[in-house]
Amino acid sequence: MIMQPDLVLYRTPKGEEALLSHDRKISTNQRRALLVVNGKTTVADLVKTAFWVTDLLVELQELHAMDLISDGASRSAAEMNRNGEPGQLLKAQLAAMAKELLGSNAERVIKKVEESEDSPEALEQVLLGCKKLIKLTISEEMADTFLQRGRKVIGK
Amino acid sequence: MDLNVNIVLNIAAILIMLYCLYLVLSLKSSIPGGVVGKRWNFLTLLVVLFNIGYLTTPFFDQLPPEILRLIVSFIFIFGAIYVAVTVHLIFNIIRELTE
Repeated sequence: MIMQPDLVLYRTPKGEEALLSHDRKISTNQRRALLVVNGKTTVADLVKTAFWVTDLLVELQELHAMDLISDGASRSAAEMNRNGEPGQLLKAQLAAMAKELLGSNAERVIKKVEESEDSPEALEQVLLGCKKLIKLTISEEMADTFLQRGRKVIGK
Repeated sequence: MDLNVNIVLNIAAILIMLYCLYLVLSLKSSIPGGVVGKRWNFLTLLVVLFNIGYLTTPFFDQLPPEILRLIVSFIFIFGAIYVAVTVHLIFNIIRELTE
């Protein structure tokens, strides 16, 4: 697959799972590439901003070949909707975001997200709770970033 | 009788303080930063100092009075600092939770 500059890539459920489960089938650089894929940023912007990922285009092609990313948020969302699991997709995205922001300290936050109900309202409440947890016990600076990015994910 | 009561109280105090040291150290990995994490290292240091101070209590009768008064004064001042830091921390936690 050719990575067009205006293409928006999205992590598939398999990709989310690979991130969360520390899948050893992907290299560290591929993991970095997988982390920067967010369903919003175009390939051209990723290449410009994700300087810490070497050979980003090659890695994206490989991740696509492994079915860990797909081209377009709408297709993945549609796949999840067909499966009747839109809330699960949001939770997986929030968990991946927590992992990206908080690293090894994300476990309690991910647990709270996973235990939440699937509705956007319930997820927003959980995000507020997580923000407080992060501010109190992990990082004051990261708390607001987590909330802002989390709200974007759930469309609030 | 008085001596026995003193010894029992001293041993109880030392054991409780050792338990506090175990708690602060075991919780440390769960609080890497944030409002609580920032203060945790300082609280841990104070608990270590208290442990040292409390462990000297069985030897109080062998110490010169000046040294004894100095140790007690240090325990008092660090105790006051510990209470101030803890109350301030609780204040911040409540403020954060009620925002």
